[in-house]
Amino acid sequence: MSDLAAAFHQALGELLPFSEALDRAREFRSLSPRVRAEIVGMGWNGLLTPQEAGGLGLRVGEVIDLCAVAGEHLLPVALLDESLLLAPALAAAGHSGLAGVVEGEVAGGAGYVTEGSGDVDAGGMLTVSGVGVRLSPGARLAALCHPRWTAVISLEDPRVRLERADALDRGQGVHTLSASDVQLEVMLDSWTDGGAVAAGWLAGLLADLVGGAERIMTLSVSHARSRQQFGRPLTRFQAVTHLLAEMKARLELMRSAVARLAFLMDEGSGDPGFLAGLLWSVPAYAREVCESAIQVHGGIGFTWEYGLHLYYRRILSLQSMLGGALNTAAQAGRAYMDVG
Amino acid sequence: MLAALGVRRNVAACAVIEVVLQPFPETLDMGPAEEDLRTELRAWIADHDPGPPPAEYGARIQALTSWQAALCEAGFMGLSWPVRYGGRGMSLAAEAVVAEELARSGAAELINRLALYTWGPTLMDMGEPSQLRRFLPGMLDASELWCQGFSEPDAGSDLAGVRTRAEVDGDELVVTGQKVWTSRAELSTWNALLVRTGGEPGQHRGLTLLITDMKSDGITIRSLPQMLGEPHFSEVFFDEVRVPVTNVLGGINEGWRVSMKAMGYERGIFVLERSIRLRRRLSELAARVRASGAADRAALAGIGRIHASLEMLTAQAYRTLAHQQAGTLLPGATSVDKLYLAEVYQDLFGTAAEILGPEVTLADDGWTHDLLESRSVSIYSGTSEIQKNIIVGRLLGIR
Repeated sequence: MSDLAAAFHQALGELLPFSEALDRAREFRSLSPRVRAEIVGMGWNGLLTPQEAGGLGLRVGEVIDLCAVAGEHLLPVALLDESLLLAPALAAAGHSGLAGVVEGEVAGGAGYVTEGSGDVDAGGMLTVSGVGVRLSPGARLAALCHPRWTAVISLEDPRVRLERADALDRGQGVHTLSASDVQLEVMLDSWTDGGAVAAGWLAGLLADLVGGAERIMTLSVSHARSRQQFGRPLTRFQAVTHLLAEMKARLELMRSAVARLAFLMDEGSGDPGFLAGLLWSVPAYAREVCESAIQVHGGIGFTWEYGLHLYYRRILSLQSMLGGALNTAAQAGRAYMDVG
Repeated sequence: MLAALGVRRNVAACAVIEVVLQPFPETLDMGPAEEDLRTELRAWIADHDPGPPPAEYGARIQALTSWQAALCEAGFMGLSWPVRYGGRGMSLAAEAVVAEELARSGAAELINRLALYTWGPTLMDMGEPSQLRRFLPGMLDASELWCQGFSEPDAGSDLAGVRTRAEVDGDELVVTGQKVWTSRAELSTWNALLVRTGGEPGQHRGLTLLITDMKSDGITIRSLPQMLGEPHFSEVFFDEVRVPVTNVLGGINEGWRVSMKAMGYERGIFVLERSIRLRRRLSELAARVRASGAADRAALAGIGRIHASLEMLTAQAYRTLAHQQAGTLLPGATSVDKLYLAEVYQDLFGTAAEILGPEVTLADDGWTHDLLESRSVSIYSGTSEIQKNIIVGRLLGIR
């Protein structure tokens, strides 16, 4: 872990105790304004925003380490959305709202618009239906990422309708967003700045999943070492240890792939087909790791208090909001066929 | 805190922080030297590509041997080997470039890859200077093919179960016993043969690695046709076979250490080479789907899944090579590569059979060959179950 990530890990350990994450989920409650202010005060909202625009201008390779820490500590994903998509999109367009987002005065969020759930028309007006978005409390701006464009809209526009959709991933501010003929605050074509902006955000979300999977792995190994059945620890049962081995293999593959993605992006040689593939594989493998973890834990893993469900909800929600396993696989196939 | 570090970056300590932020190489960096090599090799292959090797086994082996000799003659074999041993002294990234570019050619396979990727590097680590001079040149130009004598009837995945014995007799060792599943035994000049010089079956100590001349008196090779109908592997019997003591690699009773070293090498570039061959097959699958107009959602999802898996496998192989190059590869880490290679290999040909349908699965020799062959990948070089045991023991520290 880098120095920066280690410091962030320590800070989140103090700011986001696990019991508090459970309480937030139980009460469908978002992060307290005080904790949010502390995190934003560290410079979080400007991770990928260029230094000349008031951000930290970190490389993607640095940011993914921080996002893994965020995933491990269950930092609300809307904070990743604000920092990695909303702020960079505003920065790329030179939008006046950027400073407010970077400084945390203007809250926002983001969502992924799958093919078929809406588009921007020739006149630059947005119409979408039922797009999943995560929003910080009081959000005024939302960034929307589509395979061909990235846009920012004002949530104060009366033609934008939001409905709570937080049954699965509680306390994350998940809504469905519908809009008809809404004026865009920012429109980035994926062939120019929009591609890199969207890819940075997606890399961060995938790294979040790696961090969560890492935490789940640690918990599972620790449980299997300490839990005794038939007079011996679970680690003496090959049926259990082979599950752990499969989880570990998935985790290492996820880590290698996300590191490669970040490296290519920092080199400026990102391949859209590679990213499209990872949008299927990383959530799918994170989900496998988590489902196996629940199995390895047995009954305790199914309890509310143990909290594996917080990771499971987050993984399922991220996977679903990127389009779901079947869609992302088909999308990766289409990207591959188009290039080939 | 983040902002504070960001400021430090701005002011003075860029280089220092870069080092701290990237403590380990997590992927392979193809620099200008590697990209120049790629250009050079691509141009050479364009002029010399022999096309797909013949389907008939004997003719295929002959064609692949000539192909490697030609690549060696042109200076493309053993690129990461030191210049004094016939290489170019380049990085492992250069080897990755060769594997990638060969995969684009008609003949993606290197006939002597066991020697090039496993035993050559192990020799350079543990061999005597005279052994390096004797054995390395024939590895590069494929004039001396290598096989590996590890498995026995009672020692498959359980390598410590080796029973083939060798007794020291003056300046020779006398070998008696039996090996099995030895790939390309009848074609090979040298066998990296694991024998027992001490200890008891089941013990790691008392094993010795002997570089054995396959033309020696007392060796009998009996071919074991595979389910593919090819004579790819054999039983090899040793009846008082005499091997000079100068052919011991790494010392008497040091065979376990030598074998573990070799296995670490076995999976680095090898997995990358296999993964790229699979990419070629995926590209052929996509072309057939495109031509047939059968790209429905299920087919697209299948192709997308395999494409993503191959990208994951390549990223994993790059990370392994980067750590190998830096000397930071954890013991057991390559078991992830091997375990996943088998999974992707089988998924690719299983999925291809479903997408392409009976017209292909019943009739096309190439695809049915690979569909059947894919079952071997989770068995050879340590079964998938053994890889999981290694991951549990070495990577998770569970004993």
